[in-house]
Amino acid sequence: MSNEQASHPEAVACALRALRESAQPLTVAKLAKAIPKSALKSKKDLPELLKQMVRAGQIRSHKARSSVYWLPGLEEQASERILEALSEIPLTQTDLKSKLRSLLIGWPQTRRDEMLARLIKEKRVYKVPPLTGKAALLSVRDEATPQDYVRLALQLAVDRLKTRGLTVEQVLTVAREVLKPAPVSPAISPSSHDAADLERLILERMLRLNPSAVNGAPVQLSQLRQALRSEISDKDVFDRTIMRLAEHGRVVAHRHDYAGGLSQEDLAALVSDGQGNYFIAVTLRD
Amino acid sequence: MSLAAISNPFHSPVVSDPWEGPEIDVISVHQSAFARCCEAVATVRARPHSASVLVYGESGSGKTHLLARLRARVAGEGDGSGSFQKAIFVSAPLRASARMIWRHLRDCLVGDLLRRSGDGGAQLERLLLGLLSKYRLISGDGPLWLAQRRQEARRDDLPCRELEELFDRMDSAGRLSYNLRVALGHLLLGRHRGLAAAWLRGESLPEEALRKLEIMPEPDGDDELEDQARQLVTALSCLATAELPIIFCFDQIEALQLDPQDTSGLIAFGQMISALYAETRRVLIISCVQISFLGALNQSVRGADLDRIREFAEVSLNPLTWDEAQQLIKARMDAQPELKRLRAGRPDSLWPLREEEVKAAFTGAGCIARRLIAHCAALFEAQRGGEAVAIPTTPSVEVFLKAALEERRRKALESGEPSQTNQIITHGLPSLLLLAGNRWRQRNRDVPAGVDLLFESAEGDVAIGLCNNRPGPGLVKKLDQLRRVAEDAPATKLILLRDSRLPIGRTASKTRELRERLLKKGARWVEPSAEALATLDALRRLLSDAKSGELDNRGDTVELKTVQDWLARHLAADLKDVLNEMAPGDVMPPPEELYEEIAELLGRQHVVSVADAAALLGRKVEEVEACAQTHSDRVGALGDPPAVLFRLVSDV
Repeated sequence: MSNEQASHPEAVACALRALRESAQPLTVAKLAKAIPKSALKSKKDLPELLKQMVRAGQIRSHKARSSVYWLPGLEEQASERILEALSEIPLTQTDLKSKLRSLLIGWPQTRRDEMLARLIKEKRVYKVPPLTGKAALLSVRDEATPQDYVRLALQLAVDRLKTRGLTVEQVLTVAREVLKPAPVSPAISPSSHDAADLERLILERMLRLNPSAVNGAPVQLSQLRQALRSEISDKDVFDRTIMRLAEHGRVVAHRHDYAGGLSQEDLAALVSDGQGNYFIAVTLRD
Repeated sequence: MSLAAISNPFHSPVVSDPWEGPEIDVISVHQSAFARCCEAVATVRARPHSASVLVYGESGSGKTHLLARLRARVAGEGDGSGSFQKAIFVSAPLRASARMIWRHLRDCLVGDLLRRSGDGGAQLERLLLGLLSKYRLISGDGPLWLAQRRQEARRDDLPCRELEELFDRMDSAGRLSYNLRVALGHLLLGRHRGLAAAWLRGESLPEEALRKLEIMPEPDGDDELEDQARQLVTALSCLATAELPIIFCFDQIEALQLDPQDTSGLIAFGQMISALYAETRRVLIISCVQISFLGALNQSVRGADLDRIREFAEVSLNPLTWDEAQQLIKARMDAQPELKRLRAGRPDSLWPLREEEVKAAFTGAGCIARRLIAHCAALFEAQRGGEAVAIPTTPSVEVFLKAALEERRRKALESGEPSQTNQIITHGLPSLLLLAGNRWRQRNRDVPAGVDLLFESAEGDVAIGLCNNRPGPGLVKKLDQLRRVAEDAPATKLILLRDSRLPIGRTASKTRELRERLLKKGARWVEPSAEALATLDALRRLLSDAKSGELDNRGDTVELKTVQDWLARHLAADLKDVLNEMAPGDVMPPPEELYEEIAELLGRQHVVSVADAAALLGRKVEEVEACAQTHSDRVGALGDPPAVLFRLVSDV
């Protein structure tokens, strides 16, 4: 076992600090600048020290460009950037690679390709059918959503109409004109709707707020109240409807454990059963 | 036999640790939440991904019970059918500060990997034997092979070639560092177990111990330690396989928050889960929170991290329905053969309890499990008297909290180690200051290197540096960083804390010199005693339990505010002493060098004559005698004047 690292602990610490503070891989030259002269016997020792650190698993490099180093954690950050790029809209492999050139500066090209291949292998990036053409699209979802395809269609329209001199804003204005706004549902008041309507409205909005509610995920009552404020403006009506749904076994109302310590404002956002109990969330009953 | 002779089947209502119990488990209770967790286990077996489940529930709803059920199932203790495959189980109650969250997880992970479970072997052994078998490096009976290898290892000191081959084959990404491979080899072969386990936990070991382990020294600055912990956790998690995935269970997430304005702990938690999820495979992450904490979680954790935390499923533990409540009550009573016999043939299925009295515990359509069990315990006690009498009263909150604090303090004294000191202080001291009505406000941004806790006060900034490293390059670096703080920001009050059980020996000349320089610049040197640290540990544990709704006074959850008020009132006694020790109003005198030398000597040789001590330390006998008498609270001495010195240990 070499004792190289043990004899240069300050150099190791400086190199790690420089890499930690950098958003991209660093070259040997940049690392050399980050390490004070006193920390190494000679600058010639640095490449060997870096190799030692690679062997110890503290830092990484790539055989395609072995003079560039990074921390293992940076690979995950880079992968996150790839995922972020794809979370906006699915892209072809060529488009993504071109985008990654500016997003992942300093990384060896082969390492970028490997990271993308790994994400595909780990099923964190999927190949999905294209809107047009034959090249598959890369997406963070296992199938592209309708919203993805609409965005792609708009992107296609923007690209095509660019040649006719239309700007992005102009194309989007045309799109808005084509799509008529959906009619707004009138506010529901207790007098105009019966209890069943209100219950149905609440159950529907729960699922819209959190689609996982169907599998037992909770919905925060303050959010639900806020989401329905144009339809159910009266706090008592909302509270009574929630408690009725709970009594009928349609939802489970979850009590706030220490409502006594809350301010009046916070209490008002919760649902009260009128008997001193305050509820913070609801879930759909199995 | 009469009811009076039968013990109450509703006592011990709370499963407070997933590694305990559950003694009685009604599988239909929380069945759907449990099924989702099992689906998540199946998913990480089926796909090379990690998965994450977020479990909500009111306090006392059975979150820890659910984890205990899962733990028992994956340990093969379930229904005996063996149909559920095994997994490695790790429990991580988050009593930690944001800055040390990875180190805390490392400690929990290693502690549980070295814990014996199921077939009697440590979980780590099962994991490594499973991998060796999977890669066909061993065949036949794994434990038998291991017993032979251990015998061979006792004869010679050669590394385990199968393990080396395994690591080379499975770790193409190079995540398992040289040091980690060496430590795992020692643990598998049963060599230097104590030292290897201490290294794996992240304890600071002397050079001699590292040489013995053949482990290379690593930088031990604060940032480096947190990075190393993260790397070690993800590296160990990479040992998970489809056959033996790892399940991380995070509990007491609420304890990460100092107060409702403090978001640093929750942000750190979100980032940690995101990283763990992304950098591992075949790992299931289960996070449990109180439903009342839903808003705080949504507001404080970054959206992308929250998506990761609940990636596979969000499930709620609902209050029990009347049907579920009846099943639970019957199961508890029928688990006692004498009571089962007495109950047989009775028309009232809940006898000796009355249905209408049990239903009094219900709020609307449901009742929390803990409340129901405590209510039934009181009803049963009343019935045992032979007639329907008033339900026995629960202890007063004062009595309950006093006993709860004392119990935690006793445990802390029994198991306290200097390696826990940083975690205790970074997590506990801000809470203590808050309780004391101190107006210091903790700052988590722009904290200078070397500073562990930074507070803003009306008189200026107060920086606390924890100097609990072993004397060596790490401690020198830390003191040097703190020296820079003292020079760059002379208005900042600097407090240096070092566990009194870690004396700085005479050979650590550089450390002593730097400390002297810092003291001359006005820094304070504080050495909290083992007793003070145990009290602080007990305090933070009590607050953590209260924050996560786990303080159960016979079915009544004791609220955080009640605990805080009670502790604040009692600061006048014990806790005020602790605070004065941690952050004294007066400048502390510099530590006496001779005392430190004696303490260090007694750390190595627990009993030594005064004459030998004087000779070993190059001092006069009279000097050693006088010093031992001055520090009689910390140095044991026999005779007058002292003839023999011995190491004092805490009185539990």
